[in-house]
Amino acid sequence: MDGKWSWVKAGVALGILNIIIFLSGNHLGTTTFYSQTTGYITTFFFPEWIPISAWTKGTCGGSESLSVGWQWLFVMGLFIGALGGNRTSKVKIPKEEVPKMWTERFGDKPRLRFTHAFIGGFLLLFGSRLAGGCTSSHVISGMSQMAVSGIVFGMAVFAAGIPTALLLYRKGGNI
Amino acid sequence: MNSILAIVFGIAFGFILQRAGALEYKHILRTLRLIDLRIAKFMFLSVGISTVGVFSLRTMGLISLDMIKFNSVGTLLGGLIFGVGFAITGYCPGTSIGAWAEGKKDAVFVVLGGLLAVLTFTLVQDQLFSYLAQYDAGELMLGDILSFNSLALGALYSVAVGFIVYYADKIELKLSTKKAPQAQEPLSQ
Repeated sequence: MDGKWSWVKAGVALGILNIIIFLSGNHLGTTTFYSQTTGYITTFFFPEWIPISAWTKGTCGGSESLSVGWQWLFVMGLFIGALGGNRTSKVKIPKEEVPKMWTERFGDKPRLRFTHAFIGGFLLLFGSRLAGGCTSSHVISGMSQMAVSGIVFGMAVFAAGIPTALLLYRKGGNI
Repeated sequence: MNSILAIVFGIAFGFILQRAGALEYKHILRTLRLIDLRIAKFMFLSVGISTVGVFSLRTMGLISLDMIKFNSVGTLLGGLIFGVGFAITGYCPGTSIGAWAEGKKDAVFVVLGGLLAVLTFTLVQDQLFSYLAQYDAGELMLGDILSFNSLALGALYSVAVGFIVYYADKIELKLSTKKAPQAQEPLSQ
């Protein structure tokens, strides 16, 4: 296996993996991981603040308790798999603190990028919790089941993402 | 056993995302700026392939659907907010974990922002959910609306998604060959 795959190869691979995951009786998803992790941290410091059942309410994980569940282990695997993919890749992925494309557009300001990333990350997960899932659960898993929620979510993501990206890079910048 | 499967599937998912280039800011932004649609094509091709498998296996009784409830306001608004975050970060909740594994520091801030968002959401969710309840449509799929054999509909849907991906690729290729001569001009001077 060398370097990068074409989108066709990667798409076929993900499609097959998705079917196998369905066959095992599980579903792709990563939002629950965030819910459970935040729940753990908060409950550790402030045990009485928020009831445990509140954390995963409305997510695809659905469990009522905080536990290292299926989705948590799945995301841990994701981390390992990405690390493994990175180390075995013949195409060298530059280990950059800030993406080169971003620097060419906004200047060499790592702190500004980290602020963007933090605010953007906030929007990602707030949106995910509001919609009940993210790209994995709504698009990859949901749209494969022809779920109306997945189709609407997928369209909304691009409907907002494309103008935002065009606006951010309205002055051009590295392609 | 299921726990081991979770890790194995996760590893495969992370590996595929890495190989697809989905863990890279530039690929997400190029897709959203409509310059290079590789990530969108990758995602929707996998959806098209999955759908055939999912509905075939469902007809055989081997799997059952498990969908996220559709809430016309919640799903739409959540998706729009997500989309803005997607364009700002260049990651999604899953790929930011993978990008973090690759040593990208900005992805760590995405994860941290995400954790704060979950905390914030959890604090206001009771009010939000009680407001959104009126728009709840439950677990809904296309087959429920169109009252059509779901296997046939699944096949049709797969073909439609396949066509969209195929034509997106064709149009993209056409545009890039049109642009190419302009791009070469400065080089020849």
